[in-house]
Amino acid sequence: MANSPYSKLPPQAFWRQGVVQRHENAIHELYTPKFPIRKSDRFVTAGSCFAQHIGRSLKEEGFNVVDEEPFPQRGLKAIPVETRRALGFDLYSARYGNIYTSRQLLQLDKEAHGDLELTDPIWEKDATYFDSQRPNIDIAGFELAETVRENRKHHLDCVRQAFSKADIFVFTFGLTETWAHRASGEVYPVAPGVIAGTHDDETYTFKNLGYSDVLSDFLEFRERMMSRNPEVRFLVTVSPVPLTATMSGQHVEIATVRSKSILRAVCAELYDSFENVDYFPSYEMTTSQKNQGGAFASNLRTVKPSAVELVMNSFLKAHGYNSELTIEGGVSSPGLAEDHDMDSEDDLVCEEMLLDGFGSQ
Amino acid sequence: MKILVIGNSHAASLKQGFDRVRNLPEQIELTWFTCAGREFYKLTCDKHSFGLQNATRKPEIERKLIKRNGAARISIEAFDRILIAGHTNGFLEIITLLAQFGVEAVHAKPSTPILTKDGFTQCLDHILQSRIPNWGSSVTGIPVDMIPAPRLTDDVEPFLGSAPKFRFCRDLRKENERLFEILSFAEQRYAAFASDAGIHVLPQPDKTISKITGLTLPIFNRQIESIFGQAKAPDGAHVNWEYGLLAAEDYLNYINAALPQKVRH
Repeated sequence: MANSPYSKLPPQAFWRQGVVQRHENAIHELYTPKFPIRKSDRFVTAGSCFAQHIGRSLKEEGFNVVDEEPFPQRGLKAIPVETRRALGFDLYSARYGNIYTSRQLLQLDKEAHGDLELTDPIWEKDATYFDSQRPNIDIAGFELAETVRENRKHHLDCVRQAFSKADIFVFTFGLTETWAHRASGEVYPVAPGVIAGTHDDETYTFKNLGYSDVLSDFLEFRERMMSRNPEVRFLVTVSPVPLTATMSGQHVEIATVRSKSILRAVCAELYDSFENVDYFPSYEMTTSQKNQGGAFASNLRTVKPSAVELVMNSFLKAHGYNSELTIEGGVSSPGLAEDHDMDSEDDLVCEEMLLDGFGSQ
Repeated sequence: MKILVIGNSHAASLKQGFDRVRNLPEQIELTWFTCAGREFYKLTCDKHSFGLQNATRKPEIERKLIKRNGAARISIEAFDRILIAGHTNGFLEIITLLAQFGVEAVHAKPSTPILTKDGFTQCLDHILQSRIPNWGSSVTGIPVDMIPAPRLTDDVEPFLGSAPKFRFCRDLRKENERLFEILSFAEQRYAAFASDAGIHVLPQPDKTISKITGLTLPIFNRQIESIFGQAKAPDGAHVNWEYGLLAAEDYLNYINAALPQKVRH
């Protein structure tokens, strides 16, 4: 065979050998870590609901996952993890709930460090009050707006502490679509009116972040983090979970591909540009043609626990930790072929799925 | 009426109380089957008996039960009712919860997350439900009543060094003017959950509770004794015969009212 630049490439550089002939348990081959991680590294996690899997898996494997706003464990074992999570605890490194967009992440960092005062921090519903940035943390709502302010003040202290401690900041990009306050440009994790607040076109507007928006948001966030913590490293991922609904005017499947493509492209740019940014391809591992859709439950949206297990075990394996993680509701044996069907969402706390209720049956 | 009293160390005050009840009706016949708390919560009940299962796997517990009660398990078939004495009702965990969270309009706790009342109630309910024994009337086939462990003493100062719960209590006594209400609320919810499980819970005797803090009046935490009548050092958790007498009287009044007219004493 004639000499060509392709002749010395490894098998994984070729579709047939790398994908078609790949053993279903060899999905870890998709990931080559840029830098090593240690269990003693302090991991701070944030992102869209899929990011909860990453934090949980790292914790389960004994990694040092920072939680600056934990549910106190001492003497309170009777309170099950589902309740703690429903109250916004045990999800991330502080009680911020899901951070779906790069804009929300940047905004939180600015607010936590006193560089931003929110214009619209409190939403009302039926005479109860909610934190507009995390309306899902205690779904009953507070009796007084002042309590929301006080609670947020404590939360921001915890965020500041958590972010300052990160050796590795893990962020899962989830969405580009968001809702923003027209006057201030502040964004929210969920549209006003879904959990609390009232939507009106004069106050709020839909915003679909573009490539340059997402990239500049994250670059600014990275700069801010590094100005306080120069040694911090970033591990970025893209959530494989499709949009529940879109306001873009496009078909939801087209809108999903647009969103995920932008997020993926930003990750590529970050990965290519910075030594301290690694990309973990959970998105590709889940959506790979090799799986023939088998990583998703019957709603074609929820990632099966067995797939999450495989993805997270691949991450750990690539880093030299031979793990056999078991994800709640999952199956311990690897492979995506098991028929583990789920009509409902899994056990993640996820505001975005509430949008499903607005669709016609 | 044959009543089987099963309980832990808190059963001591109740036994001493029953011993002092004036004119205990002749038809009331009490049988005691007790042990220390660390063994008590390992015991099980079914429709035939109460005590230790698989005794051969737990020889040390078996030995202690036999030494105190003459057997590791007691048949319940000859009894008309069961009284559970001293079972924990989760109040220590509630104090622990309040020590680590604020609750809107109920409990201010600086530099901690604040829960809504609803969020707090969810947590409270999990705590209370986790402390309901699985020995209700649907299991035993006979009525089951409970006199839970008393609340901690209102005078926590002497015990601050012995366990964090007393420090939590001290702080709550200072910080929270609504502790009385919270504990009363918890007591009512516990009774409701227990009722669902086929257990009637008697509230702590009103005369033993501080109307300010909801904790046990210190006079009832003095001069405590073991179930065998040996003096014990006050520990802020156990109570004396005076408390036991009030609880015993409340219980006798309850079962008398619960009985058919013709057998009331």
